[in-house]
Amino acid sequence: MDSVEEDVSARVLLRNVLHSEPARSPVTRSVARNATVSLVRRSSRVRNTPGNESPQVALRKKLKQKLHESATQSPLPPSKRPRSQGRAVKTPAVASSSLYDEDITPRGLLRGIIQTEAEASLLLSGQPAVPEANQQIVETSLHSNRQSEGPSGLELPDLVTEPLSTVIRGMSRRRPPPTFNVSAFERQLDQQTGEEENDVTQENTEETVEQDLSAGCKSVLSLTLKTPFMNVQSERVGLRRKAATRRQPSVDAFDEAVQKRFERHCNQDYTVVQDGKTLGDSDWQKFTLGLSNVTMPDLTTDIVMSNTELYLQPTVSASVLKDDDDGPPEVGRCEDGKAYETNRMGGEHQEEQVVDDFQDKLNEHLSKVCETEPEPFQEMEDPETVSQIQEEKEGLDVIPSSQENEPVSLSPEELPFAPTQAMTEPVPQIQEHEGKVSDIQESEVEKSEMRESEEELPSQVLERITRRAYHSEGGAVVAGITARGRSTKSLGAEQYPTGKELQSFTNASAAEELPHLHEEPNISPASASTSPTMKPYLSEMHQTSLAEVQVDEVEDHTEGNTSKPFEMHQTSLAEVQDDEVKGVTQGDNSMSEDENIVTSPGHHSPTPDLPADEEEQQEEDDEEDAHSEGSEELSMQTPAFIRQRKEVPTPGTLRTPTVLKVLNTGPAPKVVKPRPRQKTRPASHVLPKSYVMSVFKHFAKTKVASDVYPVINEILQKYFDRLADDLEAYSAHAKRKTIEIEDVELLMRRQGFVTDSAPVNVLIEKFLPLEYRKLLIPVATSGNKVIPNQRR
Amino acid sequence: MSKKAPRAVLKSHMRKKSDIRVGKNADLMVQLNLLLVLHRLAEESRLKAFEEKTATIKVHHVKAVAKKLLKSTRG
Repeated sequence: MDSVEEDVSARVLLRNVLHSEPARSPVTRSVARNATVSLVRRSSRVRNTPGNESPQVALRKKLKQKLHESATQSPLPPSKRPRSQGRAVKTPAVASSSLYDEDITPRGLLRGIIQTEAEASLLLSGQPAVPEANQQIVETSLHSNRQSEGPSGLELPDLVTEPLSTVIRGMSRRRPPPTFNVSAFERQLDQQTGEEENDVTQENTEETVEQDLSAGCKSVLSLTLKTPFMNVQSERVGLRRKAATRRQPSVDAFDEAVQKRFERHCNQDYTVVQDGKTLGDSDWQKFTLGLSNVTMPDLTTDIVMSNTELYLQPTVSASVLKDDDDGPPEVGRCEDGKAYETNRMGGEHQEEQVVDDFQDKLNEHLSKVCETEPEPFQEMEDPETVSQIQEEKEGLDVIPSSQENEPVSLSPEELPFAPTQAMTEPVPQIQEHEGKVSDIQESEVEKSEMRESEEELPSQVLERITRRAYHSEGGAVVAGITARGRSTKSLGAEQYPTGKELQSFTNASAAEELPHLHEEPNISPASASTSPTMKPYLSEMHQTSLAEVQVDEVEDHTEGNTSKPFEMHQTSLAEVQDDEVKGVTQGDNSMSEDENIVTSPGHHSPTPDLPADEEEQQEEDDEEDAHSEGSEELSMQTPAFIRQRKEVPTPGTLRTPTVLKVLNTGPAPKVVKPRPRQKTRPASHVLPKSYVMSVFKHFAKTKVASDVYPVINEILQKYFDRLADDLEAYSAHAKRKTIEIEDVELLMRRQGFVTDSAPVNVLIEKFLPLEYRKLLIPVATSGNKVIPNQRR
Repeated sequence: MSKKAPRAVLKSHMRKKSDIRVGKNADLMVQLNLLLVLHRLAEESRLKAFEEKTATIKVHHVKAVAKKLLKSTRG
């Protein structure tokens, strides 16, 4: 029934539409279609309008009724028309559903919009911009259009303008809303309530309305390619697509800025870290001519600087840059920048200054040590100065703290100290420095490098060593010593001679060094003088240890110590502490060495893994660190123990010469026994450590500290004792004299390893390797054979 | 990957007290026993280490479990 009615109504509607269309007013249907958007609102109006109903109107009403019925009975009919009708039905009061039929469809609406928009563009009718109002206006316009033919034609003019205004409004909305007019907004609000459309405060209201209104609804009316939500700028500024207003710095400006920065840094009391950082900027690369590795050392220097801050005082003045005279430590770290720049500019002098500056920090002992250290250091070779310079440079690179350029004369003195300051540098950094320095050296000082390369191996070694030592903060002096030591060592001490051999060797080396030392008159007397003076300060300063090392080498020719820079450090330390007298006993030296060695490993873990040179340097640093800590003995004792432990299991792994090992083994200062470093198996080792640890780690499934082995060892010892006792008891109980498998099995059962649910064989299968399993578990093979042979 | 302990060492251990003889392949069983003990030791140590929320077994972990373990593996 309903369907029939619906169909009928549809048919009727169609007919009506056909009839009605030609009867429409001249106003294009598009307008009417636009109006359909806001059909709903206007429909009521249409209804309310007093109507001189024309026959068509009456017909429309009838259709409406029918539609209502159909709507209530069923949903929208499938056909277009019925759908439109349905829509119309849904809308509260669709005055002329027939009219809307065509327009209501989306297609129709769009059509209307496009058409109306084109039309309306020309018109500017101020009307209150209110969404509702607009819609209403649209509706009214639509209605007016439709009603144009009829009595509602009176409204036509107004309605006609309405859509135009609305269209205009929509368009104006699209305009980038520059300002928000409050008054207009208020007007809009007022207008919203009222239905007056003629009140026009178009311009502002439109804009404001546009702003307020969601762009979406307006976009419906006005089809433009503009982004619909352009209006909502205030709300979504962040979403707008804007090219970031970035200023692209020009290269020149950038360079200038960098330059300025440098200058600034030089003149300011920048913390070491800051300086280092600024220096470390990649900008440096642009400026550094020969320093290819500037950046790297900068970083390291940062680290160094940060460490050295403890020693350095932040007073830096421009004047210092060039005048560094052993000045107080204030030489300033910021000089790094200056020094760096100067280095770049000029080089040697600056470098030296830098180094000197660095050394200045250690004024305390510098004065005393300076004499000896720089001299012997300088003596080393002609290129020594070069090397020194290089070192300085290195120091610069590595330790930007090196401050300003001092007179070359000062540099030698300060050189030895400079490194000491940097002692705090961590070993790895030092190593890095070394590497970098080496790079830098090569790049920077061609001369020195050339010379060095040309020089013999020992000299090269010395230089390198010195550099390394320098960077490693072992001081130029130390470096020299180490170099010497190394050279001698490298030449002859490649083996692991025994302590005595080393001693002799060192003596020889020392002797070799002596001539070097004596080259310059100052050295020997200075060394002698310094040695006594050194003593009191040794305990405090690493430098002293370093200096002592030198001194020791020269004077004492302690065994082994000199052979290796490491040893040297140690000996120096020991000497500082223990032996202020020449001819330090080997034991003392060994002790000190041990301590030093111990400390070094304690502080920096796997020294043996490092190459000898590095080790030495590290050791130096370590020693320094250890000393800086305070009670050297204490610091050395603990690591000694650890080192002993480590050394014990790996006798042959250490690269340190046997002398060092001997020293290491000598634990605290009290004990003085040169332990012959050989593959001495720990006496009470139950089982090989490798086996035990591997098994333990396998079972543990997590990381295991390697120092648990002794504990495990003890446990196993006790266990084995008990095991033996038990097995013996069991076999005795069985009146046997041999321990058999059954005994062990019984033991395991009693221990709880073997249970009914875990029989022995299962365990055997689980744990033992195949070969053993075969032996234990009889396996039947073809031919009625059992493996292993069971002769029972 | 399973390792093998030196059999001679084990034999010597078993023969500690007296010159008692060790039967054939008995030391293999002892090896098995050793593995089991180490396994238990490692397990206990690991648990102890986890109690301290450290993934690494340290010395004090092992020490703490040692005594209890030795007591338990009495025979």
